[in-house]
Amino acid sequence: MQPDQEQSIHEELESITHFAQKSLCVANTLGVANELAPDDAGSTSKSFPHAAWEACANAGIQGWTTPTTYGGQGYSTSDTCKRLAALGLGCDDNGLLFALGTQMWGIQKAILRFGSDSQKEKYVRGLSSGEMIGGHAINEPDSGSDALNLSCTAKQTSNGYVLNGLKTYITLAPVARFSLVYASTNKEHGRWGISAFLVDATTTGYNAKPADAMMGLNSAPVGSIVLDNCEVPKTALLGKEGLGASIFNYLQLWERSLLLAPQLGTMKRQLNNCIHFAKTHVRNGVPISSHQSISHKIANMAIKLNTCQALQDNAVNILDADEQSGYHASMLKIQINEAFEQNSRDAIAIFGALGYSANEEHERNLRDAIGSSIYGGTNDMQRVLIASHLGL
Amino acid sequence: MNQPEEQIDTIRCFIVDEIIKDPSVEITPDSDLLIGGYLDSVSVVRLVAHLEDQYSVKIPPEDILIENFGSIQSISDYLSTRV
Repeated sequence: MQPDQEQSIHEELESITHFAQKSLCVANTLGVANELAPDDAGSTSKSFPHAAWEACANAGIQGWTTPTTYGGQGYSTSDTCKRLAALGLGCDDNGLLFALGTQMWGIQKAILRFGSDSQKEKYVRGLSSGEMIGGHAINEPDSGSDALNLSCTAKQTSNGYVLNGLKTYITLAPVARFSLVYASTNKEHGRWGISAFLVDATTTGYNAKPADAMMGLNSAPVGSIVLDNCEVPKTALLGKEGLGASIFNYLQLWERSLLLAPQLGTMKRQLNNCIHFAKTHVRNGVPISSHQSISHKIANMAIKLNTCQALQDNAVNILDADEQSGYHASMLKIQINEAFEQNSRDAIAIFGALGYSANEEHERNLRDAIGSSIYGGTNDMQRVLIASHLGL
Repeated sequence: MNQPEEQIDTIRCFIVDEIIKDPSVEITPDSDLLIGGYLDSVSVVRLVAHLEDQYSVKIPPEDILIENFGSIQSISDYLSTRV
């Protein structure tokens, strides 16, 4: 890369961080120093930062990975990843960043890869412009860690399909204009009889409800969808009948590889804040950074951040090579989750009472970090996958 | 052993040794792998990665369907269209 190109990219990443600081931080979007407390915010559309979402759309963020044909920027995975980290560096709303990721890697990627031209034109263009929000309806009350153990059915009719079932823990369901729904079109084929559908929220028989409040990531509201004789046209089918399991596996690979990319920026901000605080917070005549109990914590935070960055770069290279093994993606997801969680604990310890205060982002980062040990397949499940790939 | 037979035997060995991990399980080329419970979604990802590596082919997610992966015979037939 030429020096002037490097300078140009550096300036663009700085402008993204500046935009995030100015337009996406919790204090600016919700008008309070911290997000609404979970018991107040719940998981309703009220907790969703509509203005920040629109600001992101106006800045073209939802379209970063979308081809220009459908109104996006057409950036490569690697370039998008750098931009997401720059966004995370400036934006302290982890729920918003998570919501953006679920759209880009869970919904848009699905439709771009498996959708028809008309589905891409309708949904990808709508998602990329920010006009649409999509939910990813996988989980069911009895599916547990085996996400494809589904009860939801899609019965073929002369006009299309009739869907029946209950989907739970769907990110953005309370504000989604449509959902990507997995349902069985052939019970005898088990998970190989699962198909995926794009179901508009206005369809008769589609009823979205907010879920109970979550521990963190509250600006990404969660909900359930009841499908009660919900009739959709044949054009709602994504890909072929029976492709649902493969679509799901494909999206899991992308989500696990990229959903936490903004947290590299978040962890960098966290590290910078801790370094600044430790060097300027003076007790008994010396900055607390002079104590090894503090400086070692910060050193460990830096080690974890750099390890995550290396694994993130590796995961992007594997995606670019079109390899479908989820081994590296699972390792990356665990590594970023556990690093962010531990670094958040260390930041709280370094900031002391200030770190524990609900008026600062440190305690919120810890609550938000725990979320990523659950969504996209729990860390325990990721270790099962890694062990399986090791032949265990 | 001609090439398809050799390929079928190689795939069968991988499934029995690396996925099912029970040499006593008897799988014929026409045994139902998916509905029979021999291959879950994790195993299919492993099998696909192995096949891509072993036979230097790319298997797109659009092709991971029961008609292509329902039995060792169907896998072999599918691979013959990719090589």
